[in-house]
Amino acid sequence: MTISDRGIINNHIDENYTLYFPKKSNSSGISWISKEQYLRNDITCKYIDCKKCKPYDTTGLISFNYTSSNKDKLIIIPDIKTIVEYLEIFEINTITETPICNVIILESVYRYVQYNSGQKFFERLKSLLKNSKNTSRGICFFSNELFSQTFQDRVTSDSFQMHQYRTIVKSCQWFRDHLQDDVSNIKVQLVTQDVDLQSFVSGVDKSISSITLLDYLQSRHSKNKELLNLYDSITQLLIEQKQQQQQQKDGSNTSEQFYERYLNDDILSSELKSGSLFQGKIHVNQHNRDEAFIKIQNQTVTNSDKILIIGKKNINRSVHGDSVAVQLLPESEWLPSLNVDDIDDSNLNDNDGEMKVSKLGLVPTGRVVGIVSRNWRDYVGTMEKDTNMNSSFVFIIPFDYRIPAIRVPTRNPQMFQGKRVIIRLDSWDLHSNYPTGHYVSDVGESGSLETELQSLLIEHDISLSKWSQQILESLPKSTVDEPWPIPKEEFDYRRVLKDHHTMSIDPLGSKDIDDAISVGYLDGDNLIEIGVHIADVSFFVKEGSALDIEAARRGTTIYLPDRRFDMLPAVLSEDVCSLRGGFPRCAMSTIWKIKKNSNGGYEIVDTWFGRTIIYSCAEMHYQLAQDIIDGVIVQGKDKDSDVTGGGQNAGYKNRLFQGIQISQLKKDLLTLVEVFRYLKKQRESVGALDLESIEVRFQFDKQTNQPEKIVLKKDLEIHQVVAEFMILANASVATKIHSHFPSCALLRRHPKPNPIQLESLRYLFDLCGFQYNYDSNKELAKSLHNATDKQDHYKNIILKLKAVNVISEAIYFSTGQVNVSEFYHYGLAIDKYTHFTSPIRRYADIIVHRQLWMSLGHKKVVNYDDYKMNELSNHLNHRHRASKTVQRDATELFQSMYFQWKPKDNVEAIVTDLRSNSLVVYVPEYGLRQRVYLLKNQEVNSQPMFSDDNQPVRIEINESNVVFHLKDQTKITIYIFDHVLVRIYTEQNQYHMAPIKLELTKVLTKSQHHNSAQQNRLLTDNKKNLINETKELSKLMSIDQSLSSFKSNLIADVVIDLTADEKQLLQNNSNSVYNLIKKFSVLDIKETGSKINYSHGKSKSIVNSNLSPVKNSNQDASPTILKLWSMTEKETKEYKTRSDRYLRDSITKKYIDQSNIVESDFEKISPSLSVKDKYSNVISKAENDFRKSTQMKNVKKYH
Amino acid sequence: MSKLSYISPDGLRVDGRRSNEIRRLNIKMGVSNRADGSAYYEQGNTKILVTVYGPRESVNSKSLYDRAVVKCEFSMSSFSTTERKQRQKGTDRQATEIQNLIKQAFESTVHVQLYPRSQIDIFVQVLQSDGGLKSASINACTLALIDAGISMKDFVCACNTSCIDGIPVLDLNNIEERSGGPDLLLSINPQLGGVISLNMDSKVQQDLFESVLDLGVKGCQKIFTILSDQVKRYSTELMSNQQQLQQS
Repeated sequence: MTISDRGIINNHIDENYTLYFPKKSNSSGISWISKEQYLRNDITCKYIDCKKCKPYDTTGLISFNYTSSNKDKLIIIPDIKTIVEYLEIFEINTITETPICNVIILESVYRYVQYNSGQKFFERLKSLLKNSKNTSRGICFFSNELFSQTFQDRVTSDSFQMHQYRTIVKSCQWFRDHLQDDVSNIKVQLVTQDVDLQSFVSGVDKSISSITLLDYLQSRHSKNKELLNLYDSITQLLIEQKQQQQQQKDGSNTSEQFYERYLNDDILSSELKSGSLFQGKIHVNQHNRDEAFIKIQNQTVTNSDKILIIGKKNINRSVHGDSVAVQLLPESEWLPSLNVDDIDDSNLNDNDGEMKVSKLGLVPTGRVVGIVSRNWRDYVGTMEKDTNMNSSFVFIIPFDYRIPAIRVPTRNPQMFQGKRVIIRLDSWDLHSNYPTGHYVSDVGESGSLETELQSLLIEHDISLSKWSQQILESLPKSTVDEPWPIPKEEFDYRRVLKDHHTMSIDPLGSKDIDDAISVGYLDGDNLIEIGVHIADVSFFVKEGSALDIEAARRGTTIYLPDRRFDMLPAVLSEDVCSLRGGFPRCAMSTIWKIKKNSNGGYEIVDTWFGRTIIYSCAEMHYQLAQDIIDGVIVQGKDKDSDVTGGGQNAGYKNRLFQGIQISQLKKDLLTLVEVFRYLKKQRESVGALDLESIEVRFQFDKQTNQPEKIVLKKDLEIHQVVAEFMILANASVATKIHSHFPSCALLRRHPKPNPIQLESLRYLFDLCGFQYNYDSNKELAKSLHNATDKQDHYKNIILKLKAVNVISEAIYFSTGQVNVSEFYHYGLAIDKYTHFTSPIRRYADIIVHRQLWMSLGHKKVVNYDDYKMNELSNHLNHRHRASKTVQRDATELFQSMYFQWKPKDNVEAIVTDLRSNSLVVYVPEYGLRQRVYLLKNQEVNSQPMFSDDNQPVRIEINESNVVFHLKDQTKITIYIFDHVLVRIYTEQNQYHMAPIKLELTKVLTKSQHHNSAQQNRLLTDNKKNLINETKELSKLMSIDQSLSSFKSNLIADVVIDLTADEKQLLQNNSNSVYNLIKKFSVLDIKETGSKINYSHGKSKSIVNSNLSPVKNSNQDASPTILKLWSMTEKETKEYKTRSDRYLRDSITKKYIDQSNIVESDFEKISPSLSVKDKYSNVISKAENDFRKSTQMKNVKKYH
Repeated sequence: MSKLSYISPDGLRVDGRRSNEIRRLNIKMGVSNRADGSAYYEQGNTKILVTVYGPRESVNSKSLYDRAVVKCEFSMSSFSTTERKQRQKGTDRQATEIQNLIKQAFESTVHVQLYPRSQIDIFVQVLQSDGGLKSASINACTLALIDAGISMKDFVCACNTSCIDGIPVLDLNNIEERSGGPDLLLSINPQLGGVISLNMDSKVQQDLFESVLDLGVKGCQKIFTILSDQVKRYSTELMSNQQQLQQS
């Protein structure tokens, strides 16, 4: 305590004074503000080994580490101008080259930036200071204005600039004196570009050395080309800006003014408040940069939730993502809604065209009159081709379609040749058609897969650097010879689960196993324990460690088709944390005691949480587990090929440990399945949704690393079993942590969808004649469940996909932010839900683990609070979304690459949406959703579907169908859910990802059966199926005859021939074929139920025939015909073993009687009929059903 | 101007204090000869003059037969803020609030039963206001009551705390008060260990509340050590004066 005559202050404070300064207030001119200031004596110099500043101030935010690679130690102090102009250079942090380090940011500089350079720039400086804590670059903050030894009182005669000079010089002097007599010989240099300051410095104190940034870079970082290039481009930009300013001052700028000036800030904010201007984020149309819109909250004025902004002039220099102020144009300039309804498709999968048409049928238009805040980021781009190599600037065309070309001043245009580069935007001048930017760094040669992927990552703001040395050193060691042992003391407090059978079930080939399930029997089979064990990542990742901070920054592991970006280093994710079989592993567990009720149900009587040590005895993959359940795998069948689908290392040979028997595993699995069925039923009864999303996998060519094959993910029951137990574990943990941290538990909620958007799906349901009800999630689930068209199970998939798009995303949140009633997880129908089960790949789970551990009454590791948790959850949501979009875009990139190598013809697709100029189709075989453009600039786009002389003259697009008016007066109509054939190819594009293009080649059956009634449409696909198969047959026969002509692999020929055959068949034999179709299709319903496998549809069979026409020609027709029945291999086997010849024959005879098909043809079909006892009943029943349904349809139609 | 940042990267607040430091305190007791007790109290730029009259006979017949009544009148000088304000007729809301606060705080701490049928008048005059008015008033009243020689169980020490960007902050000044964060006023009996009043404007997160409260208690204790030091010094001064008088 220091006592002076002015009062009592604590002894870290030397002096206090009061500032009086004027401030402009809004109401009445100038008011005076008094502000008390204290000058401290406990500000440290931040040098970690400084003897004078001990005890080192540990409450400071930045730890300082000067021991970098530089031999002679140098600290630089940049002045205001250097920071304002060249902050980017300081921000660059690459691993390969040493970045700029050991920088002191003075408080004077910081304050100047805070008050003069705008919020965004200030945030950048702040985060630079904050991040340097983790990177040990030693960029730190020095409170010179609050330090009694560096405080510079303002001399009244000094100008502001002079005062700044004095302040900076004083700090430099202090640093020099402070560090001078230290043994370590540290030099302090002032970095400035300002000639005045340089001369001032030399005038005041000759011993302070000042240096320009360029000199500094050249002397210290001459190897770091990136820094020098960046310096160069910024300097160029500054020179140009200066010239422009000069021109404007002189009034010599004769160039035409393209754009209108923005309103000034005061007017803007008052107008926005009064409501005469609208504020919103501008979304630019991906397909037409001259169209944009903003979404607005207040719909009373405009009757629409959007304002369109059409034309460059009206968009007025705003870039996609900027927050802008928009003024409405007079109503006479508003547009009818039809012209614009596809503006919103920038994200085809996100919110599919919920454009709300205003009641007037007009959409308001507006123009941008001001920018509320710029939202510019780094853009990847490519130099415009045919650039003159001698010009002083180049145009860069950004990767993102929505961003206009950027003008980049440069001395060396060669540098951009054939490269993808990162460009940062700086300004957009009134007189310029293009924004100005500067070069930051380059990504790589354009066109290569690696570069394109990198570009994608940058576009999505995902920066992934290597693990820093500090992190790698802190990791536990584990090698093959010497696996990481569990420390002895862990056995003291962990529950050792030797009495459970523990197994892990994951996708084949996955190395990061973060969950395992165990079963223990307490009282025979009536009282069992089921445990879910999650890798104990929080045990390894200590709160606040460098690894923890880095993992939090990454947020999630990002899976791209051919690689992944881990959240945790491989030692942890693949070895020490991963719950591998045969090793004891630490786990965080949830164990339920489950009692079997007398009525067959199950009841959870007790839930236990805690840390455990587990011994996993089976490291299975999904298919293996499913096969064990189904009895395909029994003891002894340990070859890879025994497992359905096979695959490398798929057999159980190296997967079982501790001498466990398959029979025992089977029993455990069956117990799990039984409990699962009960749990699922219960959850569905309260309204859980079962929604689908398209997941695509690629198979890669080993040599070239190019995508070779696209595979869709399969779903087995065991997937659901595992998922269900994970959901149960998550929900249990959520309840637990919420009870202990009422206001800061990290949970996950799924908000109720907007009813307006749900209503927008109604027309689709109506079109198919399904019931639609969305009042609660239960009813929605029921509607979706019942919306199955037995002939076309894609209808169901598409409806579900659409529902997914409409329903909002689930998000993380801190319980303090949201009312308890809103915790509900809509999709899973669970009151409280969180993420607990994948800590290896999601950071949220690590937090949940820590919270769970603390909630069990263990030592408080860290103080969580709602504020921090909210920040964290926002960050995690952001990361999550970014990883999702990058995943989607990368998939698209791979698809694009794939089709670039292998364009496809005649692929089956389903129409899912109609747009003003296009159809949206879904290609199930490749999981692709794309548009088929029908109109191009209001002109009809020719499609290969129509012959050249019979192109459509006019295309009419209605709500649920498209009508093509052909030249010869005929009409072709395509409805939503119709199946079409498309050609898939890519278009060359130098600047962007090669876009996937689709063209209609054929409308299936609709074109053949114009006149057939509505009910026939339902048969379409089966018919088509059959037609194809028949075609195949006839084709094969013809192949037999002309085998010689078929030696080469002629894809196109096959297709053309087939269509010809098909026509012939239809013409000649339509009646009989039709009958056959009808019968078969009815059979088909019952045979495979809801599991009709469409990948065996027409397109596939064509592909098959393409791949092995020669093989097929060897009379080996049965495999293709098998597909007709969509028989699973299991069924085939079963059928073969039974060999129920009698029944088969009898039914075959029945068909022969009914149809007039040639005997020989039919023989080819008959052997593969998988007819079982039940079919005789089933067929007749199906026929009845079918008749009924057609009658119903007719009745409906007439009403 | 961009949004103020209330805590710098170095963890210093706008006026150069750390989050757990109080402002400069300056105390004078016995500043007025006419009153029975008086104190001048400065906390940073907040300056307050308190005078105490009593215990004396009740003017109007509102006296209680078994104990004394504490009355308080709070007023801001028209020059106390940077802009001179016209004095309002009657009492405004803030004044009433502080009056009630002080009345309740001291009715519970003063040994009122020793002074039946009498009243104690406290007049609080704010000379300059720079945040923390309530806590400063309470502290000043304690000193003035001590100066008046009124029997009290304990000191009443008050302190306000807040929470800016998730960091608990002690003793707000005017600029920080206007940040719109929570404002928690805590007054305690530092020796007896009881809470006299706890008053919070706007919300604070439940998990942070405890740390904010802890900081408040620490702040009150610190203020107590300073106040009691000053009181001891003042009383020894008085004693020595008296001795000198007696000697002469």
